[in-house]
Amino acid sequence: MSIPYYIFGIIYLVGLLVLGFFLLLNIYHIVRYGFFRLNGQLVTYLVLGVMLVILIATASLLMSVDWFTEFTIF
Amino acid sequence: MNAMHLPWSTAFLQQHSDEKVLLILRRHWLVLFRFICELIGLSLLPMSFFITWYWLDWDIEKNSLIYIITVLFFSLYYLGVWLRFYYDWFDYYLDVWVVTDQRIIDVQQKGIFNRVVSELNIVKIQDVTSEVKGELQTFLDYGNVYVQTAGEQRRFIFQQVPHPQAVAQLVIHTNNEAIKRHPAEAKLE
Repeated sequence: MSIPYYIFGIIYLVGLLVLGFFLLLNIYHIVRYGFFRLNGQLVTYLVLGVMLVILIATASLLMSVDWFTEFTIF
Repeated sequence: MNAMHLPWSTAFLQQHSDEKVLLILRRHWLVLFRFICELIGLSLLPMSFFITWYWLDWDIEKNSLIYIITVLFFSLYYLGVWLRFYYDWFDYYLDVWVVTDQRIIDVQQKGIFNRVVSELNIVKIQDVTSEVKGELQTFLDYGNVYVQTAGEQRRFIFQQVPHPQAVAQLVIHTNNEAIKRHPAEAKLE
């Protein structure tokens, strides 16, 4: 049985969706309860910025991967 | 005192037209500092893995499965670590105690979906106690303030707030002023 590499990409994307959901919930609370002022904005933009850097780094590290390569389990 | 005035209308407060906000309190910055230390610690933790990788001189091909899984795993790991920090900060930032000349409002964010807002009429306060325990709290001047009412309402606890003695004095002073303004209301208790 062989599995293509892109399956791991899909699992990663599912993980991203879950993390994104919780991130949006947190941002919603900050905005909803009136705390999206200077401190709230600074920390929110810092976290979003770092997350963006992590995503860009991930994409650049995996840029040369051929996602359709298959590996055999058994 | 580490106080802030409310320059904006917050959704939780529903400030009365004749109400004056005296103090907004959050937990001491040391609580936030602990979260920052956790963030740094969790960010450095995978370094041991990378150092081992380097020392063992593993040569991993860039199109190999182990490489892909490692990159995706650590990407999710670091995103999770930063999301956790954001959540901790958000929990810290959204927990506030507001002292006005009419009431005390306790806003507690308990998890993502649970938010508790309770308030107490300032006239009904009977006892205010500040507590500073241990060397660290004494040195950094933070601790708890317990506000007890006459009625059956539970007592309010301002947890790990800066300058607890000054906060307690302010609450007592505000309570005395409120009793002077509304003596009949105070006698009802």
